[in-house]
Amino acid sequence: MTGWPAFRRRFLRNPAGVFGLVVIILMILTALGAGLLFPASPLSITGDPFIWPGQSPAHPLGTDILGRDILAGIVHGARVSLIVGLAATAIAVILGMTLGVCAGYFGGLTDVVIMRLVELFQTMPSLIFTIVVMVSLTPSIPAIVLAIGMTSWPQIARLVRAETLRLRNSEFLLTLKVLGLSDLRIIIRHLFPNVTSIVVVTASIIAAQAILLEAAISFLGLGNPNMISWGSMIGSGKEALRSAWYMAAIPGMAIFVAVLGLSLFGNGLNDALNPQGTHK
Amino acid sequence: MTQEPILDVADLRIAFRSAGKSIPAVRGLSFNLRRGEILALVGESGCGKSATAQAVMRLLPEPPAEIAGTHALFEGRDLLRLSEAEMRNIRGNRISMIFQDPLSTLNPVMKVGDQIAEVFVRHKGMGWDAARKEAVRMLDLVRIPEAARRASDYPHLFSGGMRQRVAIATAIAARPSVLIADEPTTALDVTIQAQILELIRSLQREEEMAVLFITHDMGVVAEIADRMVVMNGGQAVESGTTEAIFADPREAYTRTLISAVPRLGAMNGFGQPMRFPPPGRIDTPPSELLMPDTVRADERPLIEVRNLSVRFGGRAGLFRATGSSVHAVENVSFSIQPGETLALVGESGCGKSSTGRAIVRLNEPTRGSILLEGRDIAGIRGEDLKRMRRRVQMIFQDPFASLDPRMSVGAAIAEPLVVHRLLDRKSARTRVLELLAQVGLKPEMADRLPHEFSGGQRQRICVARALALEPSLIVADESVSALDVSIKAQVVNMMLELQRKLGLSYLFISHDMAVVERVSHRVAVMYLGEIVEIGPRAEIFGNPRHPYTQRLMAAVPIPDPSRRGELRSVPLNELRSPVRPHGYEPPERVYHEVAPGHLVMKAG
Repeated sequence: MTGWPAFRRRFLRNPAGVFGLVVIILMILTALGAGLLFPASPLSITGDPFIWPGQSPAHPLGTDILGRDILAGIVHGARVSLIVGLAATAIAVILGMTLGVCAGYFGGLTDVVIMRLVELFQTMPSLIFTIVVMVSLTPSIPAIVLAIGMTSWPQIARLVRAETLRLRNSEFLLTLKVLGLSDLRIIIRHLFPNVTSIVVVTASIIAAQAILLEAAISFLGLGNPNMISWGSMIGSGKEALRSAWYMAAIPGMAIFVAVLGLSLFGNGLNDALNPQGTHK
Repeated sequence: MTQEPILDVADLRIAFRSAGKSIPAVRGLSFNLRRGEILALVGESGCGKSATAQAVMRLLPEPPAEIAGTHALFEGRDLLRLSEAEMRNIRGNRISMIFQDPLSTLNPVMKVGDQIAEVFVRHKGMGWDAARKEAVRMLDLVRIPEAARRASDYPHLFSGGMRQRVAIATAIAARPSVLIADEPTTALDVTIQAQILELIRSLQREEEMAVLFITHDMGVVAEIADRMVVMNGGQAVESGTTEAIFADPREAYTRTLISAVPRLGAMNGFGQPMRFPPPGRIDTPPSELLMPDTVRADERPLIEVRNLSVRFGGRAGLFRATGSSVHAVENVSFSIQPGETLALVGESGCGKSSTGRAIVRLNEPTRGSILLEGRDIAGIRGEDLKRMRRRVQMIFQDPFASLDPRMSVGAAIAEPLVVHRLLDRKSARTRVLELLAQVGLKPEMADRLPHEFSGGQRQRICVARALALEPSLIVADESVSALDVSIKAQVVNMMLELQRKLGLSYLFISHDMAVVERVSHRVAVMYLGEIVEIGPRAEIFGNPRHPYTQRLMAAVPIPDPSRRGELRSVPLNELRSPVRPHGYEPPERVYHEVAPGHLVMKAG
């Protein structure tokens, strides 16, 4: 049994995966609706500083050191996290799939060159690489996306290469060669669709990692100072960690839920795509 | 030999739960296995024979499997109702099992001696030292040469047949009273199969075991079983002594199964290939089945292979020293006429597939030339190669692996037409429906995905796709070997029919001598990368001259239990390896023409 309905049924049977999906949908809705919910800039001061959550109905999650509304920050920060998560993952997937398929399919020198490049990026600490990129470029969303994308693609490339190697010697690819199909056509029409399922699963994990990495960068104050992000909120909250821990804890919870949601969604996808693996 | 049943299975029912539905695999099967006999459970894939064996051993995971039934009594205990702990004391100790794939049944990181010794430690409470000594004795028992030395080798140093011997040694180490053998010879070459069958028979006699032998191969049944149960659709359709059933099969299904087994020598006196009788009409006279002469002998050969060699590895790299290379194909020459079928036979590793792949240019020939209608295709690339692809097509063995699982069958067949810009999309669609009809499938099947088809149907789809480009030559690499006998007969008939209609030539690569006898005009026997004998089919089968050809013929099981006495004691030797040191040059071979067109390599 295969196909979309069966896949959907298997996915919906897994409560953790469904929870992840709900988190992702909520995050997307929050990010889209941020401008409607809180039209003012989340960086503007809207009240007294150090209002604890629940103290004032105007600020349900309280305010930070400067009197900025924390809920507005969380809602607007979802945008940054989501954009960075999706865009960096897209770069990683495009780079990783292309290079991985080429390495596996063509083999030889192509493989050697691509795999050395993969090793180069994988042995480099991704946080430090990202910091270096951020410091040398102007701090902006595209820069952070690029930096994270550049460090995440090797995971996908390795995976895709392994799967391509397995498929390369399968009779179905040999048949296609004998039928006179060009390499480009074999790769695009036959290899890509067959490696997509494993890539989708890894992509959701990479998105989660990207959100974490973005938070780390913003926490260190290397992000765009004019954009609020969950990481920068923790960064500014750390000043008052002893007296007002909620300033760091609330955006921390937001990151935790987002990353957990993406990971659970990825696991759920994996179980639904490979049904044999789960019941053994 | 007593008549008392040692394993009594009554009304066994097995179902598999999938997506809320319960799909029955075995529906009320009853049989009993008597002390000291070999009982064969025969049937085609999906008939429930393996599920039965695994249910008796309680190896099926529950769920998804659901096992019910009156009982499976073994030594007074009901196997269907024992706890897992009790089953562990029976498995490998009182009832053992051997499986089809000897490559995956042994632990690759454990010495073979220790794997056998483990059984003694676990079930007989021996110390490791004593157990290792016993293990050597077991290796000796299964006739592994130099057992004491080989006990400390790892599995990868053993060939497939030798690994199956080790697996058997492990299975019978605890002197079980029942051995369940699930297709134990299916993955092996014929000469190795003959050796393993002989081993199982003699061990069964020496150790007084009862053997439940599961197979799809009627020839093997005739060779080994005392009694047999024929299964179809999860039920027993017929059971009795092997002699009685072969002499007088009662059920139509049994008759079809027996008649579908190709018999070596069935073609004596017929010059042309012959179709299998259609199902249910096994008494069709040969004259109706014989194909007309399709060979256009006076024309230029369609393909001429001259001194072809294919070698792998051995090239020095940055981190790779020059060492040895595999001489997969060595100095092979043959030609095929339009409308002719040349069969390339031999055992695994003999280079027959490498030869086929070199002809369709999946392998680069190391030396030699391949002339297609007079033009050398050995080194062509780009557009020339693409044009060549339209003339020469290939069909592979595994119908489950040779179709893209995500592409509809119609799109898969149309793809070559579109890629070669032969037809636009609309006329391609019409052509797809034509092609489907040509291979005996329905037009409405075009929109389905490969997984909705059975193995035989998928192989037809592969043939349809190969035919899309209207090739002159089809290289069929073990294309019917993975199919059930009745399906095999149908696909072979279809291929013969296509040859008659379209004037196709085939290079038919197979290890199955009996099918080869049916389909081929000429036969080439390969051994260690070289052709040792080539000639007209009737000559090769009627008058085999090379010792290897003779050995190959002798090892084919005969589907006739009354001829079992002719047990051909095939000498115990392994296929030598075609790995040669770098720079090795094979000796000059001399061929001797024993009859017109029948060439035999001189020993030396």
